[in-house]
Amino acid sequence: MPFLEVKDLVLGLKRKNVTLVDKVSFSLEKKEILGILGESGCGKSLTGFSLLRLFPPGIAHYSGDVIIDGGSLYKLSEEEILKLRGKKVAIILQDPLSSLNPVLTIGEQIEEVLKYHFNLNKNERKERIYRLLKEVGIPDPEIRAKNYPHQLSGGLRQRAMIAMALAGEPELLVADEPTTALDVTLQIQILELLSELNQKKGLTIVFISHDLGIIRWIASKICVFYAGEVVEMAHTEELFNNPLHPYTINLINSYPREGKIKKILKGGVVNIYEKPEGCRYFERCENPCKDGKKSHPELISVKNRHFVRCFRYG
Amino acid sequence: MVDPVVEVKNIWKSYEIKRWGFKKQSFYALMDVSLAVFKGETMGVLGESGCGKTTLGKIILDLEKPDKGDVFWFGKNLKRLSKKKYNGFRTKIQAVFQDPYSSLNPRYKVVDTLLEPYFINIEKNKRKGLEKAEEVLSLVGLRKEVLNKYPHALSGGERQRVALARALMVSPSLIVLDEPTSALDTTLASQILELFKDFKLKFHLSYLLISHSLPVITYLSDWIVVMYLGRIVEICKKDIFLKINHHPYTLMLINASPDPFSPKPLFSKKVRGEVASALFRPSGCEFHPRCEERENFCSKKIPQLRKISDFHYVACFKR
Ligand SMILES: Nc1ncnc2c1ncn2[C@@H]1O[C@H](COP(=O)(O)OP(=O)(O)O)[C@@H](O)[C@H]1O
Ligand SMILES: Nc1ncnc2c1ncn2[C@@H]1O[C@H](COP(=O)(O)OP(=O)(O)O)[C@@H](O)[C@H]1O
Ligand code: SF4
Ligand code: SF4
Ligand SMILES: [Mg+2]
Ligand SMILES: [Mg+2]
Repeated sequence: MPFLEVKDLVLGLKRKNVTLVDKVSFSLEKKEILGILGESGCGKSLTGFSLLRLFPPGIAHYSGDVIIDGGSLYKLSEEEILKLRGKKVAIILQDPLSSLNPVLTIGEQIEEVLKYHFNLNKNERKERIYRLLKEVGIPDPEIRAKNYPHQLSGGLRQRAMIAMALAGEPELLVADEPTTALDVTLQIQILELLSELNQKKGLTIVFISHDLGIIRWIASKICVFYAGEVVEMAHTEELFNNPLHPYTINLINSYPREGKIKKILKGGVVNIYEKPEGCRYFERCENPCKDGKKSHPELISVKNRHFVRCFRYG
Repeated sequence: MVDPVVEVKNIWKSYEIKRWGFKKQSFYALMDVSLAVFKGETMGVLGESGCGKTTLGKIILDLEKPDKGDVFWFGKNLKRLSKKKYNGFRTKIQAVFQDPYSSLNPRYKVVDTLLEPYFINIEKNKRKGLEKAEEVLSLVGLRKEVLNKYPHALSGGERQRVALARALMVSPSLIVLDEPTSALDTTLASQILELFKDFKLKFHLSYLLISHSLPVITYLSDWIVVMYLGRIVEICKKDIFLKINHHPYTLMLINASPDPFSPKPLFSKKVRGEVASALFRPSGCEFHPRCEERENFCSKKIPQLRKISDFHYVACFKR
């Protein structure tokens, strides 16, 4: 049984019955890193938050299920879900300041999490805080624990946020574009840290990004999102060597390679409020098929663990 | 010898900021920066946030004055330019910024955005202006229906095309492109980059391309300038970029860049440290706290930009 299973996840707005995330399904083994790739507005963050059963205001209905380690998240009571958040599954975001409290020191914030989830005495908690800070590569943890978020550099702040997410010893970490605001030399250090936590501690990660390059190197398996749907899913090597969906091919070809761009195709993001009835990629598809105009393709398995939503592979 | 379209010589620029709410402190955003952009060439400026790229762009556009040093447009020093000449040159140097939403007036329809610079700088002739507007719109791949739209009704990619169209309205010689594709998704970004490349060939345009992204810089540039903490640490011709012995900081940027097609895995554990604050500049070579190759003397003396070949300049004692 996979460690994480998302089944037919649907999130929608009240207005005109708009669905923002549409029948998204995927699964993940323990210790794997799943990359969710797609352009802005395609539903990545909404999907990420759903893995903690968190929904932003405005979301009027949801259905489907998220099963972590055999337990259904959507069947739990409000109280049970609070216990689970941070402990079984935690999230880190692009902007550390939005998840760190400006008026508490880093140490105090981590301590709160420890108090909530574990029965430790003051000394044990202190030890644990230092260990966590060290683990995420923060030097002089005794000093840094006494700092407020604004006293830390951008890189240390990002690390502090990760330390806080790890404080409850989660088994699953949702990382929603955690390096998008960082410079490349910091970004790679944070990616290396996450990759190390995955390898050394067996942390399972869902890594969300719009950047093909990052997903290529961090993820072992990739879900490509387009307009609220999964349009392709495969292991990383397979997806890069043998991309099937015209959108995935477009993404790969439009990334500058050795100073050249292979192919530029029609751009333009779909309007999520007026999605086409047929294939959602129809308008941008280089070689649209006949069926795509009126009918909506299903996600099908083309070969061993490679899935695509496109009539060409029917 | 032909004059460069724009040139800066030994530019120093400082800013003042208030620290801890009372004491003002000044620091250098640019230190002794010199470069020249020739006709039809693209100079790519690469570096991480805060290294002075935007400041350099603003000085070239004459939106900021340097503390020291000279700026030349078409070979003429701005300090000794008549008002009339200045205005003539002014229109030849245009800009496109990262966030087209904030650089387009939200109360202007696209048609007004395009006509304004034309009326001010070329001539106040509505018929000819509209002709030109339709021409540049088709160049940037927009239909003329957008003329009557407001910026909020356009997508990010369309807005960036309008910003580019506005720059083209006055037939510029050089455009400063400051992170022009950073706010766009990959597929849209490539389309815009492709347009830039197209115009460069078609109109013999020059660009000063500012970006933190190595793939963007290598895609469009003829020359690459790498900056660190307000100084130029390396200049090289793009054609030889893959073949030369780079400055250690450039190597770090290359190692950190997540190239999906690289044959080598991304994670090498070679990249470390963070850029120091310009308020607390490291002594000697400013990169020394993060440098793998540093020697004792690196923290004592400042390395000057030295010529390695006609196509390669580096500021490092070990090159
Ligand atoms: N609270 C909300 N109310 C209404 N629309 C929303 C809300 N949150 C997200 N959306 C819309 O849902 C779509 C998906 O959003 P999101 O998951 O944040 O995309 P991504 O993270 O891929 O950029 C977008 O079109 C966004 O505008
Ligand atoms: N108007 C200003 N006042 C004070 N400091 C500034 C101002 N403009 C830029 N700076 C500072 O100058 C340095 C260089 O900034 P900038 O040129 O914007 O860098 P980049 O574009 O490479 O990110 C930064 O430390 C920035 O904070
Ligand atoms: S289903 Fe048809 S229109 Fe849609 S992506 Fe595939 S080929 Fe293109
Ligand atoms: S001068 Fe020294 S510290 Fe600076 S980049 Fe060269 S080797 Fe490194
Ligand atoms: Mg998002
Ligand atoms: Mg800038």
